[in-house]
Amino acid sequence: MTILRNHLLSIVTSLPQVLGVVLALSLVTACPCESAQAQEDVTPKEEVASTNSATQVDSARQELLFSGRVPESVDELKFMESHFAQLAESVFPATVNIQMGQSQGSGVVVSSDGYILTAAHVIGSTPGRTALITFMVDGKEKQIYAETLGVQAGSVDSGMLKIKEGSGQYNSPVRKIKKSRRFEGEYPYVDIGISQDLSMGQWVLAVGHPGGIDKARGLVVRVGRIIDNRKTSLRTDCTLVGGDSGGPLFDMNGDVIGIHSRIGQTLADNLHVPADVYSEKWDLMTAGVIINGRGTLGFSVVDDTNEIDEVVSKGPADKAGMKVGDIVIKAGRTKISSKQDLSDAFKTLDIWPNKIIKLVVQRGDEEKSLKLKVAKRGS
Amino acid sequence: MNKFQTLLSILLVCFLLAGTLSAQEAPPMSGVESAPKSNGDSATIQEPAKQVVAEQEDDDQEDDDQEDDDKKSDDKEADDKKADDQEDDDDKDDDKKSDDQEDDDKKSDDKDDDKKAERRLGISRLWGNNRTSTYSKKSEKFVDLFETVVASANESTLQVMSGKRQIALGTVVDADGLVLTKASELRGELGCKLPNGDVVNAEVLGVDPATDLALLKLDTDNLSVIQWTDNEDPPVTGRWVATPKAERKGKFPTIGVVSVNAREIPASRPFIGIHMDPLDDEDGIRITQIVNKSPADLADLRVNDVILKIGDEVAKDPRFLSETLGQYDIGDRVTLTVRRGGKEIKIKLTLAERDKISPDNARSNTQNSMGSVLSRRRKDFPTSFQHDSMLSSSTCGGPIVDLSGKAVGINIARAGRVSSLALTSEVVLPILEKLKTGDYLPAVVNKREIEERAADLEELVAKIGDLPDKKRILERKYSVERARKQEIERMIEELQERLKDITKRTNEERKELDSVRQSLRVLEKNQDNLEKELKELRTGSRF
Repeated sequence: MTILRNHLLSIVTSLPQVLGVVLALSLVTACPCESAQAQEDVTPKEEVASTNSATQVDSARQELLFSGRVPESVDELKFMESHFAQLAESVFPATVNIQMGQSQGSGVVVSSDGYILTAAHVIGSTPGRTALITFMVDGKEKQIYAETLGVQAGSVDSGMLKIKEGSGQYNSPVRKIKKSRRFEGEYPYVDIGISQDLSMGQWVLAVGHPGGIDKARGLVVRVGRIIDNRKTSLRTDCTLVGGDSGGPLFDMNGDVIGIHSRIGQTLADNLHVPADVYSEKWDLMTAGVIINGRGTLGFSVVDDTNEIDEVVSKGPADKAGMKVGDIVIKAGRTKISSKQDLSDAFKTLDIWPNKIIKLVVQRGDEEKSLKLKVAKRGS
Repeated sequence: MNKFQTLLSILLVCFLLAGTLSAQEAPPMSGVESAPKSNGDSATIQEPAKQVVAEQEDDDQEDDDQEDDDKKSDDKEADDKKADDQEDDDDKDDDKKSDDQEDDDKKSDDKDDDKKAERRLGISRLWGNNRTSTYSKKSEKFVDLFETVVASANESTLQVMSGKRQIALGTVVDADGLVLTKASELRGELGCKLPNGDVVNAEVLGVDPATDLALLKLDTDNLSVIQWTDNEDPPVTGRWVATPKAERKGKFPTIGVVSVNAREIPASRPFIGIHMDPLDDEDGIRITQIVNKSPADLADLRVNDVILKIGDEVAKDPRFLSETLGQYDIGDRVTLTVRRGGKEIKIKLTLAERDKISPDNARSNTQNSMGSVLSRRRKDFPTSFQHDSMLSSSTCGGPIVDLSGKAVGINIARAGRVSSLALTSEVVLPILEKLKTGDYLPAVVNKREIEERAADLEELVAKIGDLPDKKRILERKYSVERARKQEIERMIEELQERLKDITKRTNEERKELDSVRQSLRVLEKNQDNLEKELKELRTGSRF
């Protein structure tokens, strides 16, 4: 997980200067999953061949794929369509169906240890629930469980899961996976791209399970262009419909640059959560935080002071070992000497469910450092 | 800055999970549908998928002028009437609206020119207009490039008309006026619009229910015949495909890529719309609930009816019913023997497509119809590939070409928001040969259905029998009796009036009599007294 994050950060910092290089590199490594899955000693030649063809893409064609311009000749169209076909093949293994109870959506695996990006409305805002993940492997359904992680509530609609190994003793009413259907091997994954750098008109590819999973049909590909690129939403003319929710939008490298979220009345109203939303909030999301959710710490102070008046039984403060009479002297990095200080500090700390808030309290002569895990308000 | 976001938030409908909506079509995942429940018929209403409310931001922006040609989804039947009086909207509605010949065409030409001018100048009446056209797959330059690709096929693509309304596209397969099109969209007076703009009458020479293809015969010659691909294999996922004449009243091609490799498109399971329980100790199925507007509802099946037989087979239990119905097709007619209150009756119903009726699927249907009009028939086809071209019901039936410009298939359905289906050329060509023989006229192909309907009609006529005579006699009898009754009522009323008068008068007379009696009594008493006094005075017994 940290490796992936570092990887992302390095792309973020290096991309603006050397866009072409990074993209070319990504082309080669577009689907590490495949190379990981393939028996290297069995098919080395093919791999080399595909790597070569990918790197031979000349700059005009790179420009065609990433600048947002339209093709100008049938030759360019031909180049594009064979690229689409390869791309689809390479991203299919990492694209999954997500089933939560009676509902289905799509998702995409983005790390070798099984982190999955999806839409918040696919998984709901209760971290720790179990979802059934279905991969399409050579036309067969292969399944595994995953645990829901954090979501960004409200208008953003981003959500995450993490695949869980094991026999499936989880809390949700999920049925047992038949042995013949259990997913085995390393998780195929794709890289997360940088959505803020997408050009208007840039060619993109949408994949998902529209209408729910259909073994006979498999995954469904759509090609379109970036029609608008905002901080919290991407718009394309890749048509989407129910069941696509949470599925990946790819750039021509095969990097995920958006997650399908919503549609409007016209066929050009297809909205995706930009990938940057996930990269920026990675720590919080993977920690199961409900971003923008309403949280509580479970204590109160005496009048306008910083002395603890009451600790809610089994609340976050109680669980962290806070006692009545403790005096809060630090919240995060902010020194505290009054109730006002405390509420100011909390405003900047974002008290979101499942987030860890560090407090230092004075108890007699001792200073104690406490880690409070924010609870959902009302729970 | 926020204009776009707010524009979207107004338009956007939150995306929903497929959930149970898809479960019937998708092959069952392990365990899900393994054991039929007691009410195992497809009518079971399942818990709907969850839904997140779309974000709300205030805005007044509308996207009326966005160039989404397929946007409008007016009711098909209503289009005929509307066709002529919507000029301002013709850009949006071109798929559904008729071309009122040159007049109309000129208008939209003008409009297109206006738009081009606006684009060049960087002016847009509405913000969304410009953005969509420049950066989408409908961008002018991009479509221009494809116009060269489809140039030849364009000549072999005709607009199929029902009166003034375009109902489909057609593929010219013979210079002397043979045109393939989609059978299930055909309605009314058929015609085809030739490349020169003339509309000529068309007759149906043959239909093939399996592919939903129909062969039309036009009274014309010198048509340009479609060129079929030389490739044996249909185009695979990711390949460009283009449909000539599918945009803006047939002016431009629609472009897409293959979304799913060619495969058979399954039929949906037929559905009658009941919830049911088995009987305790005998064969039969008790109906516990009827789905509104389902075939069961329309055929007047009722809760607590007991289904005894399906056709000639004994309806053992709900599972048996589900399995038996699974062997029928949508549109098939089934006779159920039903016990209702001690009587056995036979009820005929027509099996429907679950999607169209079940409330479970209402949301899914809504989403799928957003942005385009779906075909009447969009399932159950032989080998077809799925593509993401933004077709509409009225732009199916024409050829679809790859980058060679040759036809790789015929668009056979607008199946959903993300899905257009095309029969592969390999499927189409043998059917074409078959239809050319003239042995598959509608009257022949629909023989069974025609016979069924005729039999129904006969049965109905027999049922009606002498009822009209009975009705007439009863009506006459009733009107006579009713007149008599009214007469008597009038008489009663009159008598009551009179009775009232008499009563009143009697009362008055009685009062008078009483008072007279009273006076008389007093007077008589006085008389007695006086007489007594007189007598006493006379006799001297009183002094």
